[in-house]
Amino acid sequence: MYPYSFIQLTDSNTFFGHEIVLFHDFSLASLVFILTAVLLMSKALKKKKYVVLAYKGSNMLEFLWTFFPVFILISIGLPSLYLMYLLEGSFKGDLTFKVVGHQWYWSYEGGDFNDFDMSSYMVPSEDLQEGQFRLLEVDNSMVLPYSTNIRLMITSYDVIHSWTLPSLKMKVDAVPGRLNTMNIFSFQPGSFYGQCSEICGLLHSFMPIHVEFVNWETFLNHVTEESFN
Amino acid sequence: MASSLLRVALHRVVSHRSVHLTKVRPSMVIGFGGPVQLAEDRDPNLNPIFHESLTNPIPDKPRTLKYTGDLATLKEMEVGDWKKLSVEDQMDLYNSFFGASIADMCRGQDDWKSVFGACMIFISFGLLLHLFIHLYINPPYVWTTLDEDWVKASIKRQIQSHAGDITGYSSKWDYANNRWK
Repeated sequence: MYPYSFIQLTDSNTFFGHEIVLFHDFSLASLVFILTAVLLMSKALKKKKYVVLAYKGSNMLEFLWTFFPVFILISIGLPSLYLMYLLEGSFKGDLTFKVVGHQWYWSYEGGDFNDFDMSSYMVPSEDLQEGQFRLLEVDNSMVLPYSTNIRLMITSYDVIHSWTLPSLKMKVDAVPGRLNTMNIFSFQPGSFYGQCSEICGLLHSFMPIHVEFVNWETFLNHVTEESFN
Repeated sequence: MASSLLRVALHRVVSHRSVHLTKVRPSMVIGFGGPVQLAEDRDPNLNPIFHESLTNPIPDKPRTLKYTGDLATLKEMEVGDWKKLSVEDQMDLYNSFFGASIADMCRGQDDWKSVFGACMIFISFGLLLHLFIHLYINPPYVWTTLDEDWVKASIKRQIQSHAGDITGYSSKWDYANNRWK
């Protein structure tokens, strides 16, 4: 959850989330270095002490200004690839759930629980109680157990949506006719919000995601209750 | 003809001011792309595509293509001993080849002041309009989720759900004593 006036990445509740934050900090440091170097160079060149009288070639200069950008790109690219394959790596899921995007709500089906099917609509701003979060609250949130490997299979019924949870550093596209698989694991119980991240029509900004991580007992009670409803 | 008139007029607005803040030599006008001329007043002796800058300080062709009159005499004297040329003659010869000196090019121009001034005028009009609407066309107050009570309640909710327990609100809340750390 983001505090007000927050501009950093939010706290992550998964191992991969920590890795993503570290990589983000590293690549941002590289970018700040490049920006500072370029600003200093442009400031030096603006002094107008230098007049070009003749153009000469320099192989060493050309080599240097090719090598350094390539070096910087590789130093950013290698950890990025490592992280990407780590996220997609083989992962045994104890539970499987299916997330289906519709215009303009999400529905959750339990892969392991045949009768579990639930739709999640946004609570309108007029119906909010004091203290609730605008454009984030839903009527039925997704309840999952914490400290459990959960496999999520995300798809869409109509147009492309994107299932996002910033606190878990997750963003998976919901593409119609395709099942995208993502693994989720939360260290601790908690309540996490997200929003649809792929433009999908008129109410794209009004289809939030709310996931609650609870203990197994609460989770099983919830699933049983929803299956009966 | 209209575009060249506009170019000359704009150039005069930008380069010439009632108070000269930079020391500009009176015999010459610094302009982009060479000397500024109207089509009907175009001097056939001047090079229309003359361009000089810090990255191209010595152009291939001079500013004056054809030397006539006094300039022709000076050109002949240039071949001989330069000590016979007065300072004014040397300056005339220099001005006939170049449009501006290196010092003039390095000095920069004060176009930005006109642009900045015009921007400030437009911005001030916008601000005045905003102030007018704010004072006289004020909409009625509507509750928002950014009201102080609502924000406090939402922060309390975040603390109760232990959201942001590393860098968020929960990390700054003392749960044992029920107050901020």
